[in-house]
Order: sequence, then C-alpha cells, then structure tokens
Amino acid sequence: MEVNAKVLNHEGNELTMEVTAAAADLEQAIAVTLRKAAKEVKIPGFRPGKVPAKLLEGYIGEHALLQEALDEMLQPLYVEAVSQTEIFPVDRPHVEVVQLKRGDEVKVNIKVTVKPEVELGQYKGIEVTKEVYVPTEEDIDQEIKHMQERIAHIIDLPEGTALENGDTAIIDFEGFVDDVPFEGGKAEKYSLTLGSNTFIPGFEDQLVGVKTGEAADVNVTFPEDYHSEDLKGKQALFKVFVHEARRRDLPPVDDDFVKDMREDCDTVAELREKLREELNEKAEQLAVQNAQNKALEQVVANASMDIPAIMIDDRLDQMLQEFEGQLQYQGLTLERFFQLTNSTRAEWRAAQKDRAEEAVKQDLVLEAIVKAEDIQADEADIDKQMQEIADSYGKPLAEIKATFANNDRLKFFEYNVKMLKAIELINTSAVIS
Amino acid sequence: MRNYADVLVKPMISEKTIGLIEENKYTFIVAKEANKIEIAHAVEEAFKVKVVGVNTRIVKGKVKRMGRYEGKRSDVKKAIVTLREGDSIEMFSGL
Repeated sequence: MEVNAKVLNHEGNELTMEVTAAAADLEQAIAVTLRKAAKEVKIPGFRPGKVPAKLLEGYIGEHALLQEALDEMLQPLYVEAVSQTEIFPVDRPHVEVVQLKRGDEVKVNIKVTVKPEVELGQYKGIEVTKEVYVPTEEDIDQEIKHMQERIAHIIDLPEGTALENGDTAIIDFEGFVDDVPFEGGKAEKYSLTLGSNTFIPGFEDQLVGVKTGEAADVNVTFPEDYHSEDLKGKQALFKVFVHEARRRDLPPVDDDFVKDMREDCDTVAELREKLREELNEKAEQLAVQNAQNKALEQVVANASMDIPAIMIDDRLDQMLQEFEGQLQYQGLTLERFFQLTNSTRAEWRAAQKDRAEEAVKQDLVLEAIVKAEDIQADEADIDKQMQEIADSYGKPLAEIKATFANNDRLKFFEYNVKMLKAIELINTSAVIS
Repeated sequence: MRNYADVLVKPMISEKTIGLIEENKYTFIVAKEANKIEIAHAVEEAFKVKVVGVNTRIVKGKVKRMGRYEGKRSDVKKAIVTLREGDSIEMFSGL
C-alpha cells in the first residue's frame, strides 16, 4: 500500500493527520469489495458468486461501492499511517473523507486522541524514609502459638468442665424475643467455636465459663445493622444447653517442642532469638518494599500530564474484565456479584476510577522514563521473563518461547521488561533513609 | 409493427446470455407476435448493426398456484440474434 501520512495539527492530546493513498490501492480495495459482494448479492439469472463485476458495480451503485471500498482499505491505511507518523493512539480514530473518487488518490483526515506528553519531574534519587517495624515480644509469642496450634491435638473435655475461649462446643439453643421464639433462632447439636465470632456479638463471650452438660441463658442484643429487619436492635434471650466440648490441646513450649519444630534450634531461648531475627528480616524487606513503592508514587506525583478520559475508561474496562476473571474463579458472574452487593456497573466504575487513573499515570510515567533513559530490552531479559512463566507452568522454556513467538506477544514482553527496568531504576537510585 | 420499440421488449441478461455474447449472439425478450424478419429489422434499426440470423422460442409461463387457485404466468418470446462478425451492441457490452 502506498500511504502518505502527515500530521496537520497536534493540540493537547488531539491529533489530526492527513493521509493519502494511491489510486491503485483504491482500485484494489474495490476489487476486493466486489469479490466479497458477489457472494452475497442475488441477481436473477445468475448463481451467487457468478455475477460479472461490471454488472455488480451497476447494481451496488458507485457511491456505496466507494464507501465499502474505503471501509475495506481503512484498517491497513490507518495502521500504516500510525507507524509512519509514530503516534500512539489511545482512542478509535475519527475519519473524515476529503477525496474519494475512482482514478484519484484517496485523501482522508483522521482525528484521533493520542497518548499525552508526560513531563517528568525528578525520578532519580528520590528520597524516601522507610519505617521498619520492630517486632515485639507479643509478636514472637504469636509465632510460637501458631507453631503450637499446628501440632495441637484435639481432645474431648470431660463433663463439667468450664468452657474457655477457643473451645468448640456442641450446643442446642433456642432464641426468644419478648418470650416468643423467632424464625431461625433454634438449632440442635450445633458446633460453635467460642471466639470465632460466628454468632452475634456477646453470645460466645457469655458461654465462657459455662460447664459442659449444663444449661445457660444468654442475653444479647441484635446489632443495629443486622440483616433481618424484624430482629434489628432487639433484645433476645437464648436458652442454651451445652452437650459437650472439644479443646485444642496445645503442647507445652519446651526444648523438646523446639527440637520437633525446628532443626536449627535446641532451646526455647534460641528459638525466640531465631524468630526475632526472621521477623526483623521480614519487617526490613517489607519496609524497603514500602519505601520503594513510595518512591514510585513520588515519581508519578512529580510528573505532570493531561490524561485523556478515554484512557481511564479503557483501563476501567480492563479492570472490570480482570475482576470478572477473579469472580469466575469463585464461581460467580459479574451480574450475580452486582446483584449480591446491590450495586451497578456504573457505581463500580465510579469507585474504581481513581485507581484506574493512578494506574494509567504510572504506566505513562514509566513509559516516559523508558524513553528518557533509552532503556532497552535485550533478548536475555525477555528470556528471563519467559523463564519465570515457564517455571510457573512447569514447562520448558523452549515451549513457552514457541507459544509467544508471535510478534505482538514478543512486543508485549519487551514492553514489560522495559517497564520493570524503569521501576528498577527508580528503586536502585532512590535514597532510602 | 413499424417501430422497433414495439418488437424489442428488453434485453435478457443472465449467466447464459452473457456467455453467448462471446459467439456474437445477443438475446432479447421480444413481442410475442413478432416474427424473425421483424426482429432482425428491429435490431438492425435500433443498434445500427447487421443481423445474420435469428432464432426464437416461446418460453411457456409457469403454472403457479396459491392454495386452491391456479394461475399461469405469461408466455414470453425469446429471440437470440446473431450479428455479423465485428458488430456488437453497446447495451450488453462492457459486461
């Protein structure tokens, strides 16, 4: 295709360009159009597809034919024009026909929204402070408790034992509001773990201390935001009978326990020290990560740009799609989700708009850095990223490579690598204090 | 039948007749009463060509029924006119 594109006007994010294509290209497009039309139109006396081109032209009409031909050639024309002018459109183009005549070159004006110019602020050597969390004794206790729970046995409590928080009790209960039993307020042999907050607040607390094999009265007030209109904010009395209960029997924390759990520790003190180190390390990593995120945020905030609304809309579409994918994992559809949460698509979009804008901004800024720093992605980098994917699918690298051999996909990888490198640049140059 | 417009009703264009143009034969729907001589004259007068042969046939109209009512489409007379070599008729040509 012989295309000639020239930018006429570039104001803000709106760009207009004049694109011309040779007359021969138009003729070719017409030929293609006729061939397509021949299969569809029915002219008496001819089998489908056997209508002579000339006759068909007369049948379709010059105007319609040209229009169809233009539609036919517009796609490659546009792609060519975009690559010639090196612009990055973010919207669908609006085409205005200037000249469309047989035997003459085709001339169209194309108006399109392009990616905004980003004015980078400071992006190297951003100063951020990191806040490292210092683990406390309680944190270590917590860790040890987790370890205990992992190997805990569950034992049945003998009758007459008082319940403690964390026990699982088998109970019968019946609830009354104003001495009248209510719907759904009754159950038998229900297994309730105290402290699990399964029931309305106060219920589980009041069972603490009740002995197995005994009955108890529980007085609670339904919370104001309770889902049932009738019970909201009402006082209720539950008659409860505790059949039996089970308790997690936590093993004592001693040197034997430590040896069981960890091969690299012998004593409790040693374990505590080890755990402290690990928690410190984790906290440090987290802090650095947070600081780096902050640095990135800072860089984005330092840059200025005028984002076209369409980019945010597009991003929202993308986010909605991803969200739908997540929901499908849980066996939900978007429609069902909106039904359940009693919201609408529009509300969701409105709520996510800021996030979308942030994401668009970040991408644009990173792209700008890639350009400013002339960051390149070489094959080794791309291979490295593919290797990661290969590992996550448990397939050899060569196979993944073959899958992504397609040029567009490769471009996508290249883009990813460049973006990651830009982030790395921010991270490594950032001054973390 | 003095006027050629009374003889020649319309050209007939179909896959088959377009194929016949190769053999310098042009097909028309003609008035049913017209005879070969009249058709030859009419074509010569209308298109300023020389006719060397005329073949005609009457195509019987199809019997069509709509429920219990039966009807018949009109019969038409088709004429295949052979022209002198080198002559052609614009109305068809270019197809």
